[in-house]
Amino acid sequence: MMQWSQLFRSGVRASWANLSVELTPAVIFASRIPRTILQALFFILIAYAAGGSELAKFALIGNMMHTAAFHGVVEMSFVIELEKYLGTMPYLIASPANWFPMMLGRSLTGYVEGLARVALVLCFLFPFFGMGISAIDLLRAVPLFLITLAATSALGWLSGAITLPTRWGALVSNTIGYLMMILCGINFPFSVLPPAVQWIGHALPMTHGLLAIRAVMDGASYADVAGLMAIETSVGLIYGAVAWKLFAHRLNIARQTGNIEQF
Amino acid sequence: MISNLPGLLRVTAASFKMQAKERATNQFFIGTLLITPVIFTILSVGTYIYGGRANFGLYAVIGAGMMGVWNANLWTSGRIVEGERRGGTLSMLVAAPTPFPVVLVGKSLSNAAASLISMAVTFATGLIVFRLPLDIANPFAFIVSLLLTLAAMTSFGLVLGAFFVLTRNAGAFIEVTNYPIFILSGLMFPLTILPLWLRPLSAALAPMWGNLALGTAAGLVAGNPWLIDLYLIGLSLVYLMIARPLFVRIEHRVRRDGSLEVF
Repeated sequence: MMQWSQLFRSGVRASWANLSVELTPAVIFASRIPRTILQALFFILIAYAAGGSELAKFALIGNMMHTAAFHGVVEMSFVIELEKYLGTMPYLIASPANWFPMMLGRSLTGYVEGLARVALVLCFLFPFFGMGISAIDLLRAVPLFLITLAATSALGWLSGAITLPTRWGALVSNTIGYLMMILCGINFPFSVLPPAVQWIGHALPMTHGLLAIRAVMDGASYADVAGLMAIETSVGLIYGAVAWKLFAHRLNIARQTGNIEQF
Repeated sequence: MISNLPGLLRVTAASFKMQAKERATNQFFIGTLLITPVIFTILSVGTYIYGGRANFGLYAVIGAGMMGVWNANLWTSGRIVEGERRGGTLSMLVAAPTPFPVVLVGKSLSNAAASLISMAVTFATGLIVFRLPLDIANPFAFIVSLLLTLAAMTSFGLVLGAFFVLTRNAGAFIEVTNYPIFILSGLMFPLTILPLWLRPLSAALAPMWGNLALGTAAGLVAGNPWLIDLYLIGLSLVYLMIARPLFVRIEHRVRRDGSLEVF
């Protein structure tokens, strides 16, 4: 257990080192912050043009979560991609240390950045489009943000595990992130989608979490949304477990065949 | 220095071909040409249908197509400079007797031609997914407007391309400019929902006029598409007049200081 904690901490340190090189003040203020806010604003404005302030409010909550979830999916997948890109994946596989806590640690900054994106959208766009949502209800929704984002991150890991032996990781994770905009009810309720497509939405993380977040923001109690959050948590755990098993399987195959350099 | 037209055309054609070959294996192109146009079309048309404004469907389809055209044309054109830099060939291209803008024009035109695919993809998505009536009132004016929009965007890309020579962060810059330009150009919603003081900024952007020309030719917006086409031609000329001296100055600067590898 002690070793797990050390590996987790070293993963966090490596991840933070990566991020601190990447996130210079110029990148933060000239790229990350405006991009996050403006992307959400764009989709909220579409909703505003389509259905007025009510649909804009719906899209605000959806895009607030999606901006974090999208980052979560892409970033978690990128954790694996980055090891491949930098050529450090073979060392990780060859090392006797358990890769799981280390990868978990490496994902932590992506998770924190996702939460920062939620906060950004809230700070800049909530005053314009969040009419009727009380600050108390917003604060009550914070634990649901954390759970939903964690569940979504598991999808990112799965995406990374699936694309491990390929060079298509970035494209696949980005496509998944964008598809979630349609399938999880970001800009309009997913209940208007065809039933077959709704089933896909039900099987994805974020769908139920977002329903719960919307309900809590509308004044529902935690007890009212406990069922939705239980499903969200279960979906996240299932994705995480499948990702773990698949990643381990991929690594075993890579060890057996010695073809990790081909990834 | 190339001083004859056949020479210029030969270089342009060779760059066009080279870019086409590079693009065939580029994941970002596959995403921007084939995947995101489908997702953005479903998302925007779905939002309008849910909001009770199904009549905005064609408008959203054209807007999603314009986003694809912009992404494939300009975003990847910015990546051309970045790609040459990463590949270590930027210095050689700048040092070669062939003017660098000629190479960039060939490559940008190649991307522009390919970006037409995204427009076709959005129309196909509207037709297949939503069974939208995609009646274009004046097909000939629509095609002419689309070609002039591509020319204007390519010219705008040349202006930005000049700046990209001076930075390693072209990708981040383009990423952050995407959404403000989508918003200011009103690609997915009427510009009337934006504050009045933003309108002058919109007027300087080729995508706004391109979108307007296409909307007018499609019969969605009242007006004469040919007059807007004239504006697009004028705007292209202005962009080119800005791009040419800019390239000359920047090229002179990096040659004089020998600083290209420093950026």
